[in-house]
Amino acid sequence: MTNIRVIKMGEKEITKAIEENQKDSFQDFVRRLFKNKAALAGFTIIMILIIVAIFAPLIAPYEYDAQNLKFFLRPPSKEHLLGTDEFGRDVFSRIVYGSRISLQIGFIAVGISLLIGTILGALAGYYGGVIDYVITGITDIALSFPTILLAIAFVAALGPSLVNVMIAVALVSWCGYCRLVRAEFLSLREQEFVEAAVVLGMDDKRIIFNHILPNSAAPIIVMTTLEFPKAIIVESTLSFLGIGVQPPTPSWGSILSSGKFFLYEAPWISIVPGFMIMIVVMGFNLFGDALRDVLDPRLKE
Amino acid sequence: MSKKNVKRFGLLLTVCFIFTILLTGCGGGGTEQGSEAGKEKVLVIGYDRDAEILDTIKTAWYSDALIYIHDRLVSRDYDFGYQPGLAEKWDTSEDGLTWRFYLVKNAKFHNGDPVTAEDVKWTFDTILDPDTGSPFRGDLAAIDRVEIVDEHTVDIILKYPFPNLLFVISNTAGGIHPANAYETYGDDYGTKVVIGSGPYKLVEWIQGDKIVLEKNEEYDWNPDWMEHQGAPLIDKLVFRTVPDENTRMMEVEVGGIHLLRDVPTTYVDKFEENDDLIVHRGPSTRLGYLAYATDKEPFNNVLVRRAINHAINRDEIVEYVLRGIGGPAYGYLPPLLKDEYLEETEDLAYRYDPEKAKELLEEAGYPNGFKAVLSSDNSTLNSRMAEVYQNMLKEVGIDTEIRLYDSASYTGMLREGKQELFVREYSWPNADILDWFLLSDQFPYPNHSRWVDEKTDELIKSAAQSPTWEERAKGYKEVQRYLIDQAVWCPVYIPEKIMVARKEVLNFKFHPWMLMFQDGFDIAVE
Amino acid sequence: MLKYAIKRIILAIPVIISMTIIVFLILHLAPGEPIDLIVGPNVTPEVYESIRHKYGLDQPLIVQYFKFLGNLFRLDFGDSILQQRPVSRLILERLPVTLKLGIAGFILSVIIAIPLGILAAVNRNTIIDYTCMTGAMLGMSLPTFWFGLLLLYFFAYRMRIFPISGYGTWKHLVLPAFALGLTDAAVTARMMRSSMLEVLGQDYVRTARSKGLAEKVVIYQHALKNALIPIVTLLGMRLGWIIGGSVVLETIFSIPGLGRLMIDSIHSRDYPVVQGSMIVLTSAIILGNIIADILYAVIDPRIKFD
Repeated sequence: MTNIRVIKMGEKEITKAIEENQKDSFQDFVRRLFKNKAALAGFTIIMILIIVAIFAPLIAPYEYDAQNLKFFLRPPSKEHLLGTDEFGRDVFSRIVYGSRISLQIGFIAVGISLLIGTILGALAGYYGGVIDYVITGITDIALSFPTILLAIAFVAALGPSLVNVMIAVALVSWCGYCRLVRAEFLSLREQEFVEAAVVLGMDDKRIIFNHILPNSAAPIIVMTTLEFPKAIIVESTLSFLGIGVQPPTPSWGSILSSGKFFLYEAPWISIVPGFMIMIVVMGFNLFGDALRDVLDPRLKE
Repeated sequence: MSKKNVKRFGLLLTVCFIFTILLTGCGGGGTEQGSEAGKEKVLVIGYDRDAEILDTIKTAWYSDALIYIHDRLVSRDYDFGYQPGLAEKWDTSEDGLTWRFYLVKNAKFHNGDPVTAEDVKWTFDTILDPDTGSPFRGDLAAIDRVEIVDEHTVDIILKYPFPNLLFVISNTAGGIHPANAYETYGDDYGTKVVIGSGPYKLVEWIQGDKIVLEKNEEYDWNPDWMEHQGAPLIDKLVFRTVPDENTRMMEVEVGGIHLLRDVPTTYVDKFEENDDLIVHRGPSTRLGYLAYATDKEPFNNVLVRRAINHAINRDEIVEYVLRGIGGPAYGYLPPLLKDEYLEETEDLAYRYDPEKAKELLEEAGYPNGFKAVLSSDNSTLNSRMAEVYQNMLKEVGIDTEIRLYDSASYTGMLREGKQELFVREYSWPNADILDWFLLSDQFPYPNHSRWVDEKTDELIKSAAQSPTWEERAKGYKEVQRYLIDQAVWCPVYIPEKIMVARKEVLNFKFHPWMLMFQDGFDIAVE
Repeated sequence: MLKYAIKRIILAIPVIISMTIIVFLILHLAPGEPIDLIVGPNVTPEVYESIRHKYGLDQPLIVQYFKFLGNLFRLDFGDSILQQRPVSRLILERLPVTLKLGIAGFILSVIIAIPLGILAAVNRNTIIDYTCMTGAMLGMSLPTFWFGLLLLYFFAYRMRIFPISGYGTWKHLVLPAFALGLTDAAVTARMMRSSMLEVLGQDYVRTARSKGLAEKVVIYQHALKNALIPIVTLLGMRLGWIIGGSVVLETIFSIPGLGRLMIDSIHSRDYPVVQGSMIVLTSAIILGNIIADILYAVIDPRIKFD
């Protein structure tokens, strides 16, 4: 019986009903989200990171590549809040600029992997059959690689640069989305509103993008938030191993990596960036956790 | 899972844990330094890189362990002089083509066989055989054949005069193996078995971790120039691989390593303050330089090359990057090669002068400078140098983008010829380094600066094939004069050779090329 | 069950073969050749070519690949180019080292994580719960390499309690296993907590409580056994993660394990070694997953093999 009623409503009504429902729940969602202190803390950390990254030139007292060899490895002082590195560059400024790399890696690499993963997952889940088999196979392969090693191999093949690091990070992290989206599609495909759309004769593209995808947005958003910190860690590990971002561009991983040679003379160079990575990763994790609790209780570990 | 199962799960975990501890406890062979039984004298030396194969014929990465396992025909004393080794003397025919070596009569291999002319012939023949694929073959290209005169006399017959033969055969790669070693020992040769006649024998090699050698009790054919005669005093040498520079330096401080042969200059101040450590400093045969692809715009213009030479503030680099431990370089060879080094290098030098550099660039047609890629391998010092060069080049209007490569990609990139500006360093105690890097038949690699020039070829060939050592030295000076004029590279610095030893290491004798542990080195044991 | 296991293993074969293609392509796309590192700078072009020929590197890629695949079916990974000996031997030497580190790290993480997770779940929404979970959150956010470096600096270099680097005794293993285990424990503890909470909310636990059983009995006899079930899947799932983590730690602590062998070989383009170790590691991870799935089904009667 329900099926008939849905068909009578027609496509426009369905879309409208969904939208209204979403609008109401959005305010409710924000309210519930920020009742959670962890979410607030995580959100604050992320916002601070974004602000610092955007306004880096205003916040940093020096250029990140301004060398002054004479003043190498100076301890923290009024002129240099976190001292200077082996080239006499201001460590504080470099860390401030380094936030840009973390954020860039986060947004671009996660963006690319989100795109790849969602498309493949949607295809596999919606069409099933051979397509599903092939895509699931590829996902299984990708999932069985040790991430860091694969990323190292990719960077070795592509040559080290910021762009290639992003590509490498994206190439090793899309499979999670693929699995998730596929599972969402598999279950949503069976739902009434999709069946209705099919009966109404809508084309596949429209069904996928206008109907199924919006309905699986919640878990995808949660996953994206939780993939951010992973991408940041992979980038910093690559930079730490010396095959990440190219100098003199500062990344927290590379500042840490060059700072470790002066651990006894100038411990601040390596301790602070490591701490920053930890805080930012924690910010995303806290926020992602809370998002999950509110948006998608099913996803709970 | 019942309650029992939960308990079992816990038990299983505990058993696993104990098992792991036991495994790790017993698995390592129990060679923990310091706690080794009794008064055995063990010296641990730290390295950044392990051997690939312990065979002087087949490897190109000569682990120091090979220095002590093998003897060579010729040895080098503390002043780089060529001295008797397995050959107690040698003479050369008048045309310089036949070299006759007289072997010491009492030398024995680790397997008990005496060292004979046949072993020498087998060693060199195997290297020269193209099927062996020995990387050392190129260095012996001057050798036509090796002939046995009698049991203890051997002739090396050359295709053309080659005064540098003594250097080549006194290298680590010139170690003498017992004849037919490959047939006798099969695939294990180079990993589990290595036979030489040197002061130390191979005990074990744990790949990626350490090589352990023990002293050859029978060793008494030390060359006369060594103060100590007979078997070495230290019972065991352990060559440990610790790839991370920082970790390696910490190890020597806490005593996990007794000796480090290459210490970055940045650690010297700290080590000199440490009472447990003794820092040994001396001149080195290393040269750091900034190179460029001389066949590409704009580096094919000598004015641009000179401008780059004027743009680099060598004194500042030596003072702040090398921490004052080393000196600036203006020429193409280290002064330690006293016979070949060109004395007037200092007068011909392109000194730091950014204004002059800008003028030269303008004259060359680049009033606003230009953009280029600056490549380097990702080693600590070279990548650090890249950043400093970038900054200095920016001052004169040359805008560079740094690209760091791991070592395999770096050589690959240079071979393919993609480089523009690039950071290099060499470490070699002989003037023939110029042949390798600058002859046109070495293009495109190792002639990575892509310098194809008839006059250079002519000058180098006439120097390398001079009949005598003196004439050879004179010839190489001419080469250097020309290279400086053409500014083929931008030589930047010569670091000091720094070794650090813990205070337990006794009778340390500094040697610029390889430490002679058999010459009376000792170690105090608690 | 055996049928299921065999099916899973057969399905894994195409996965492993496609992986060999990917690894092969990635490596050969990269610039540089292993020969460069074998021969050193002082080599004539003629010698260079003869060495290339010796290792078959002058042949077309596709020929090289099928040669490699053919050998693979005979379980022969070929010879290392740099070290000139069989890859299988190299892997056999290095694998136990990585496994020891991995197992030690894993056990350490379970020992820390399970009690912590139970504690947090039982004392839900109390200060104990918050402390445990904040700790777990911190642990999860620690970059492994940084944590390893800090441990090395303070416990080995400053206090000199443990050796700085190397391998051999259990003392050498403590710091890297701790660095590996603690970050892993954070994830496991969180999982344990939610698993426990889920179980505690279930009917049979409520029934047990309503019957008046002591809270201890309820938790340890009824809830724990079921809460532990999902943790078993971790055995398989974390395997890949642990190997990835040990790669970086092996570099920091100079441990001659498979991870370092692989990084070194990637850097030196020693193709056969990288391919061989990738295959071994990937197969191990796939196998780990299969075993975990089977174990899961064995201990959880609700799951049936299809």
